[in-house]
Amino acid sequence: MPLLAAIVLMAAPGDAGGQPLTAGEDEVKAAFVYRFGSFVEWPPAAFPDDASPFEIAIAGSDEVAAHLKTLTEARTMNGRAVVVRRVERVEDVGRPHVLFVGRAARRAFASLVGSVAGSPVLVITEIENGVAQGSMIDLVVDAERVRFDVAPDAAAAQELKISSRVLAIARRVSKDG
Amino acid sequence: MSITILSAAVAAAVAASTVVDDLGDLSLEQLTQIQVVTPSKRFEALFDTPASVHVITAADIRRAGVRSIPDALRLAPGVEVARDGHDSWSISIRGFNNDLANKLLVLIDGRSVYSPLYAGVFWDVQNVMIEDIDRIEVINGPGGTMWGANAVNGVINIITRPATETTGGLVSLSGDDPWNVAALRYGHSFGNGAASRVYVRYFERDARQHGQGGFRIDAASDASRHTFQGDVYRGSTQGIFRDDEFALGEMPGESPGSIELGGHNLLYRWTLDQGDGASLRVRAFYDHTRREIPGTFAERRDTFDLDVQGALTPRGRHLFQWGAGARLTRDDIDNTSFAAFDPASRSALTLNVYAQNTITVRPESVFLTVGTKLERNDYTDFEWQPQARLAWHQSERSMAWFAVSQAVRVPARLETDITVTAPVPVPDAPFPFYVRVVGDRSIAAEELTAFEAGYRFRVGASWTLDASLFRHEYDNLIVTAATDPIVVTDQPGSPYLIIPATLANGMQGSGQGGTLAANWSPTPAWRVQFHYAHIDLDLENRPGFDTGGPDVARNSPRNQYALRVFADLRNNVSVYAGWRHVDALPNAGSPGYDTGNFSVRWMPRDRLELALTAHNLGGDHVEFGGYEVEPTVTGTLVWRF
Repeated sequence: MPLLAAIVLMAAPGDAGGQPLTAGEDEVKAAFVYRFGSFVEWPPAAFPDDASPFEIAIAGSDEVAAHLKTLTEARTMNGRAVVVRRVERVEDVGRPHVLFVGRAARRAFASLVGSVAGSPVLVITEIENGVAQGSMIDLVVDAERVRFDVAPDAAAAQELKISSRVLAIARRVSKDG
Repeated sequence: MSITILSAAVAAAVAASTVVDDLGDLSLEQLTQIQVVTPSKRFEALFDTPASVHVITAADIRRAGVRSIPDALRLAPGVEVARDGHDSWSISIRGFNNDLANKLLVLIDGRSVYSPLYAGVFWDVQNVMIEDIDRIEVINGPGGTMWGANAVNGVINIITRPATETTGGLVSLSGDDPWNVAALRYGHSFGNGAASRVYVRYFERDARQHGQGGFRIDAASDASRHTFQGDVYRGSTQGIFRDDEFALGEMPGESPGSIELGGHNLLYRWTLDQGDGASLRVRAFYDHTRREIPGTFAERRDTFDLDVQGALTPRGRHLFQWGAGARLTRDDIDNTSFAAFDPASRSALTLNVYAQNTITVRPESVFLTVGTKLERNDYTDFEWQPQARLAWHQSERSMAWFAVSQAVRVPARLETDITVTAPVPVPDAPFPFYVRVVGDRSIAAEELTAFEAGYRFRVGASWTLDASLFRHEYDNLIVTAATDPIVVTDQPGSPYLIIPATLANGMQGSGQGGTLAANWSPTPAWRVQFHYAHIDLDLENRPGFDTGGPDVARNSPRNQYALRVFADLRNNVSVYAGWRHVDALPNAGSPGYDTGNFSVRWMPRDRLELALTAHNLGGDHVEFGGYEVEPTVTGTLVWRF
């Protein structure tokens, strides 16, 4: 019961905004991971046929994975079914369309990214300064909001085209990727 | 309070029912606007708490243009906030308000800030970087089991954000006619979940000046989290003060002077998640305060506090929580002819242990928490503070709670050790007139037995309703008991009249009332909030006493209500409008008042925020003690970099 421990550790009674515009950090991140799919172009070769699902691999965050599964249950991505799978080991990464590397997997970050190098895989992280370490989109909490830094050149190197709409609302756009 | 455990258990049970489905339909732009909260801060936690708890969020503080903690506290139902001077407030919950209000426990990041000198809070020196407040939790009602002595009528918990959430720079400037504030914060992330921040904040408000700085470091590894933080401040107020020395038989002269204020504190907190629901938290703090009031007294105080709390792995239907703490406080007072403490320096040691069990009576529906604190203090020796709370969830959308608790307020230095000789100006009196109050070491703790009930209900995502009722039964309330005046003629100098008085457990009685808080949010961008609080105090002298103590019942407004609208408009503009009514305080010089606030906030660029806030619309009004609160307009600029 990690939630229980978390609340007890706060040593303070329950709290909450009670406002509709608040949500858990992991929920918002899950929503971002899903929504980015609509604003990134994959090369045709990334989908063997029209029935190929849109695949999201999640390492190092069971919370984001759980939220993403709930979120995509009744949703598709550009007409394709969405498959969310958790990755426990680097060998299991395979060739997803999106690879999300959560905080708990930050030590394995380099090998995870290495395993998809040269393939059109959108790498999303939640590590401060993640784009400097090879991430394409890095989700960060800034002033109580989930914002993101983006490295379009790093994505372009893997034949991924990130929409200008994403760049327009990014916190930082890295030019040196 | 037991409520943490209880809400945790239930929050875990209902965590699956989040609104995650809705987020998938939001645009990227909308997603960047969602305020994120950690899971433990979710609405469920508040919703399931079996106590009258209200949370003032950072977003509300910002939208309402709030610049001080007292102003923020007006945003919670049931808090009596009355400004009684340029930079001074009387603040209480469930009655007994005045500038010595002494039945509240106030914590800033877990550091207790009520003064053991008088068991009240010096609100003028409780300043934090407003932009870094995460939330303020207001608990109406006793919290002695968890928090210990002084958590009699309520607990106010001011919580700042971890350094990991305040990286980057922030400059905040705001000003109106008498009150100008400048603040600067810079936060740095070390990566791997560690970050630090430093801040400086300065304000001036009429003759009052205050400079403060501080830091906070947070670091987390897999199972443990460390926080280290501290603040230092210096302040002053210019004024005309009674002269230090005077002889009985004369009235003291007056001369200009300045109150000098200072303090510094350090706090370390370590929390460990031991897995399987077990956890441990260790907190230690050191706090130094200094207050020098010309002609009255000068107090320097050092407090050391160590507190350990833990939760064991739940076993079957039982969830066991324990705690132990020690606090050593030592003061050093410069006495004057007006006020003298005997002894002039005193150390006081308080030790406590507490234990409580949360029992699942019916899975996911009925939870019973029973527990007690046992405290040993230097004034009244051992004190028990037990409670029992029952939470009954009819569904995920409605819950009722009931509580019976006992709390005590331990006497303060002011009540046991003081001799005050106050000259009373009486026009046309044939000779000088004094009141002399002498403290009493044999005084007992004030006692409260509280009966509370509450109900919460929500309809969809747009309506929430929170209602609570209380009946407080008090005994041994401490009052000033005067005896017959004595005319002194046998001393050298001119004759004088003196009214001797002492402090005694001379009052008893009850208070009853309740709060109602309704929130309506027709769209995510609009929220309407209605708060109502009622209190009815019925106090009387205990047999053998004839004091003016029961008059304090008329220091509280029988009814308070507030209506607030928070709206996020297009083009990065947000608007806040608030109106509140406070009934008369017949014993505190306020005829009651209606007043309004209005604030417009505009973010012309991503990192720039401009705001204009009008306070006290509707003209001058008196909140307490005759001080006139005037309308002002404040301009604010916040730049993040």
